[in-house]
Amino acid sequence: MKKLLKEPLLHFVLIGAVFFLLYSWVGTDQTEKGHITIDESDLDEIVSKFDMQWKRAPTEAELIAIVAKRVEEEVFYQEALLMNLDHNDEIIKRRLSQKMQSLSNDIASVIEPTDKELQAHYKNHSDRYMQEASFTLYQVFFSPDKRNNWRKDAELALPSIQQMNMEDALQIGDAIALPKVFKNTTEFHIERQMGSSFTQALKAIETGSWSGPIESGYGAHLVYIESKEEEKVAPFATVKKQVLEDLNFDKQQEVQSQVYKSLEKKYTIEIDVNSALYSEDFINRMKTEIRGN
Amino acid sequence: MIIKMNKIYYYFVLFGTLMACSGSDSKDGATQEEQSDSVQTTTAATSTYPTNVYFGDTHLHTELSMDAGAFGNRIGLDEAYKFAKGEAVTSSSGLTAKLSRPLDFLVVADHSDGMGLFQALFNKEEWVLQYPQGKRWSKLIEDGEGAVAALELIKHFSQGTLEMNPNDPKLMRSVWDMTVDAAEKYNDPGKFTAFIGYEWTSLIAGNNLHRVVIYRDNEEKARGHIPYTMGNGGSADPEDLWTNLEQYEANTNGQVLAIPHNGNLSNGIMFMETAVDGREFDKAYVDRRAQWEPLYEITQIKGDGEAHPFLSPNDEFADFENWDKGNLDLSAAKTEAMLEGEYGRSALKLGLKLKSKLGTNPYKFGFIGSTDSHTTLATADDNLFFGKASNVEPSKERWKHPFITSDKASIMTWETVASGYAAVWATENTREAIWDAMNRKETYGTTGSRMQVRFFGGWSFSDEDLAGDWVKSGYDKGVPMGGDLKEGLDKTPSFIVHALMDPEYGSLDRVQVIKGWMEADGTLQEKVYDVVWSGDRAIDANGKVPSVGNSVNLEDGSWDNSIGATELSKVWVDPDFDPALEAFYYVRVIEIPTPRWTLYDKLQYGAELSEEVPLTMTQRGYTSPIWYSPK
Repeated sequence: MKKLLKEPLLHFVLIGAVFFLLYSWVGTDQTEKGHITIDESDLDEIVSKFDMQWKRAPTEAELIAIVAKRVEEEVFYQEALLMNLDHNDEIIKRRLSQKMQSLSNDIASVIEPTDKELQAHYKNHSDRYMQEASFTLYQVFFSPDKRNNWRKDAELALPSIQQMNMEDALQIGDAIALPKVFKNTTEFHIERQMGSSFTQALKAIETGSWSGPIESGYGAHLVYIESKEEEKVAPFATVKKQVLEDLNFDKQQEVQSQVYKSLEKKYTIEIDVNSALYSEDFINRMKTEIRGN
Repeated sequence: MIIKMNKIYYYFVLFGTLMACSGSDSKDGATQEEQSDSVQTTTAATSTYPTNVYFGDTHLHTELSMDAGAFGNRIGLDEAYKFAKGEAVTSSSGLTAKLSRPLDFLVVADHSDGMGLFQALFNKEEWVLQYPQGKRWSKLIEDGEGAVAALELIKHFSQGTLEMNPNDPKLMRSVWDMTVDAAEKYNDPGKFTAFIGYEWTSLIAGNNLHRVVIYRDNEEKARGHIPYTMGNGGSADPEDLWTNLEQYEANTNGQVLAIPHNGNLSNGIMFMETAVDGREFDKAYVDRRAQWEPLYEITQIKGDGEAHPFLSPNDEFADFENWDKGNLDLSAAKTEAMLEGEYGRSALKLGLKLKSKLGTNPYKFGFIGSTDSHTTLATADDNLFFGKASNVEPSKERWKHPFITSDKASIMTWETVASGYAAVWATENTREAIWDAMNRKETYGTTGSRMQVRFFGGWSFSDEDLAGDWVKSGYDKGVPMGGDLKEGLDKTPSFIVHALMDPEYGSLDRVQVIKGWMEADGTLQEKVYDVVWSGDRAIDANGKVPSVGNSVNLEDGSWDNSIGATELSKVWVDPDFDPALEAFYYVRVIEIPTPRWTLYDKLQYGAELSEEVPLTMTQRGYTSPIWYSPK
């Protein structure tokens, strides 16, 4: 029994049955010709909507006025349907076709993907779930505020800084309100502080020794990269929410196009164009593309 | 009967389809091996005070704002967040747009009035077509004249002459759900904050009293609270907005704040001494204003709102991207008497006066900048300025497009400003931390640059503090921007001012402290102090630091950062301090001149600008004040 409950096929059938019952039940009392019923559920709905907007219940006079308006609308609506005024109306067509699409979206989103499906989606689209590179690095700064030849000074300091221990090395250069040490910091966070030309330059630098000078918007820097973690696929647990959103989105798209394909089969579509304005090649292309998707 | 058959058929199709789909992904569903959970920790250990400044836009419109849609905006919430997070997005006019650096947070603040109305006009929904205006605008939009429709719509909305109810509750509910859903989807604590918010668009005869409303909370609390409107059950009176915010907090235990903007288009009614219904401020009014409105948006696309040369004749930097021709729809022209009620600095001064009268300062606000962009794209960078609305996205001709025009005056598109961003010193990048920092006013506004600015006030700062861990000293021995100085007794206040340039903008010309105070006789005063500046310029006979010059090459848009400074800092002591007088101090940072967006239009698109169009400008930062009170 437990196994049966996990069966996706059963889920679909149950959900489908619920929807079917719901729609057929809602559908009947409104479409009967020449008859309009206002019942307590209609009143409840009107009252709750009113409350949502005005933060109070409607007065009796207001409620009667709203119901009268609604009856009027229903009468016009029914008569308009009888006169076929809905036919060939661009807006109604668009609206109804959107409604069909949102029905399939509703159903697609009811079904929660299993962990297994999520894992598979994650694996198949790993390029969407990359975790950016991160660095542990040290930097010292040569300021244009304090030197005429800041870049040159940085170059000259490079040989001697190689010989120093880290504590001494970090005393080299000029003070500025920027971190001298970035520990296990992502490229994103380094770039926020140092600007894009700095992080661009980092890509070309070897780990394990002082390099530079590299230029940022501030001035010149000597940089020591202690360790570097290359860009890689993020662990599943950290991106699970995003995978779920992506999978749901992909599923909706797929359901939508599958539904369309199945429905379209019911129709023969004829492209009946006989005018010199449209070439035969073009018409043939149109035929294959419309049928082909 | 036939209808029923079709329904059955439809569901039949759905089942089949779903089964087919469910199979497809699980086929290759080899279970993923357990990954070791070695998530990298970033940046330093958490400290009790903020060590990072976060940049964002608190004021962005998407296609869901009726005017934005009418101006041709066809991109929405997803694009807004993707763009702010640094992804490339295709704009409404088909251009590719990408920020050079992502933002840290975003408030999508679509207008509550008419939320989704444009979509109704676009889709020619019956309920709007029954009105002559609706019919006319739908037709205009269909004919590609959306901008004309937009201007008319704004005009009628601001004059209260709309024929239709723009706030159909069904429409608003669904649009608000979309807005809330998108904020929840893109909020990514630690990396990117997406706030739930909206704009309350109050206009009184065309005078702008707009506020952006920002929730600290998530969807569980905010979803149920439909945005407050001006028309149809709402009100144009800010006091009614505050009542609505009070109700929200009482009902949900949540937290919310409001940020006014564009006092410069209010024709003097943004900062007054009387309520909009004409009665004198009382204690309840000033308390409520101070509580709900801790910030003011001081700079944005529709002009800079710090100071005006008429009000501050001795401030040579006051004449800066001001809009002073009239109100929002230019239905009434500006007079000099209106200016005092329009600018950030004059309001701070007026607040001191009201405090002495009523005990609370209603204008005790901090500063942020934001864009008010209606293109879905939060662009405040001059080299990437997508304009105020989608009809003035980058093009050769946009500069001469009239932005607002009436029989009184015209404002041209070249007068719009590529500004600004909100900078917030917060302990982490989350809704809670950034909102809390906004509420305590530890913020500053910039015109688009991401300069880092610190400002601490205390009673015992000295030059030694700057040599050590001055940020820690700042918090230990003083208060940050937005704070209060008290219990000075007979001492003189001292301030740490510090600015670090944006590595991708211009270097720094100078850092100034602006002081405002009230004399014993009630006169309001102000003074601008040059505190620290680049190079070795000597103070001139007028007591001012001479201009830094302009190094922009108008042929290629380059400039020379060496005339300015990378970093400027100083401990500044008020030389004119009188312990008996109420005062405030805030910092203005001015960069060296860099290209204005108009120069980029000239160089990139060949725009043939007229003489009057400025080609360079100085980026600025305005910090929240620190207040001194003798009591």
